[in-house]
Amino acid sequence: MILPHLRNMAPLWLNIAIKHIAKPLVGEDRNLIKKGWDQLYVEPMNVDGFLEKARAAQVVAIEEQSKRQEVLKFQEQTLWMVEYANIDDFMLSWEREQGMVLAPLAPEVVEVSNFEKTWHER
Amino acid sequence: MNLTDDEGMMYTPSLEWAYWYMRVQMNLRLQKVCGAPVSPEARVKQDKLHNITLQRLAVRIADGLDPKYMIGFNQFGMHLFPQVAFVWTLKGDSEVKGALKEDKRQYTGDIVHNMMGEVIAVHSIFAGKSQASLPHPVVREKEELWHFHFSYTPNHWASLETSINPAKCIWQWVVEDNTKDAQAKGESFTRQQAKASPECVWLLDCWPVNTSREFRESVHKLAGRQIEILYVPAGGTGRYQVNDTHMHKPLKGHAQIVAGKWCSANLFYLQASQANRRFLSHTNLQRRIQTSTCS
Repeated sequence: MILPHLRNMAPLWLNIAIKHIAKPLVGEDRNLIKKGWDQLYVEPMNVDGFLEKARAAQVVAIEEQSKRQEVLKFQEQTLWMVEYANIDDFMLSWEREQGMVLAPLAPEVVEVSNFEKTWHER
Repeated sequence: MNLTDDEGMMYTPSLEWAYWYMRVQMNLRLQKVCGAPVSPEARVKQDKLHNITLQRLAVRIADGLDPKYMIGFNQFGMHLFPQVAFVWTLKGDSEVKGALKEDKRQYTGDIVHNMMGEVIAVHSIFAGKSQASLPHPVVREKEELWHFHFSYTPNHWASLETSINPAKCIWQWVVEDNTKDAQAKGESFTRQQAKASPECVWLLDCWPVNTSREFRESVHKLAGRQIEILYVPAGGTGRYQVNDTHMHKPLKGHAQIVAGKWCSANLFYLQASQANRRFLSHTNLQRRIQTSTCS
């Protein structure tokens, strides 16, 4: 069949099919979509005591999440230390992250710190 | 009992015998493979993840989230001409053929629905490289298709871009619906308040685009923390996603019936020779399509 005609018909057919599944089911006051939601989600949620358990689980999850974030933050800082083995560089970048304004380093300090670097790092 | 090679060959059943035994004695049939079994371990993990989703939803609804803002959607493939794969025929017919040549061209559809059973939006993606690959503007602007959105990709597959556009449409619906509700209660909203107040939860599958950082960031840009995304456990859509469990099969089945009716009504034209088709003018066909008995 000719492609443009099929393209024109496709949304109309789909729309009719959608109307069909959105109609209330025979003998029920809900349609197929609502029935799906009810069976998969609403009914298990309405079991006695489920909400209380859910709230308790949420408290535990929040606590665990905050602990995990603390550990991640610590690891991130430690990794920075490893990455910037030179403590001055670490402080510099750390202060930059914090949004602090740094006093310009004295040229002598830079010169001396350069001596401490290996050749390929200069 | 160990047999020598010669004796082993002698007692090895033939393929014909094995086929007969499996078919007649064991009552087995050859069936098309349609998936791999989920391991018990994976099933337990899926159940656990689904339970976490349920718990989160229960808390959100108890805290005041309107169930109509609990939204789910998922893509499906649909034939441009959905043909019924079964026909009535005499028992024992060896060659069962359809009225028309099989057409495998497809487009992608996506139905957005909520917990109240309402269809919020329909997104369809056609294969092509320009607007010309979409349905005709007259069809697109039909009043009955007001909730349809059309887009195109080279192979009609959904992509990040085609996922972000429906996301915007859904959020727009949430804002508009929330404003309507407020107006019905006599409250007056500024534009800013209308956007700031509603909250919704989206239930998506673990398709890599849905879980991608880009998608989540674009949703976050759209509405900040007002949209919460929850995921159906990976590999578990056949058990926990409404689209897969309740919607797609009857939807496709009904589309096949409707297309079949249209086909029956136009069978004369469809079976006409090329010369006859030229004879039937283009405008005549357009009129047939627009007034066909497909409703």
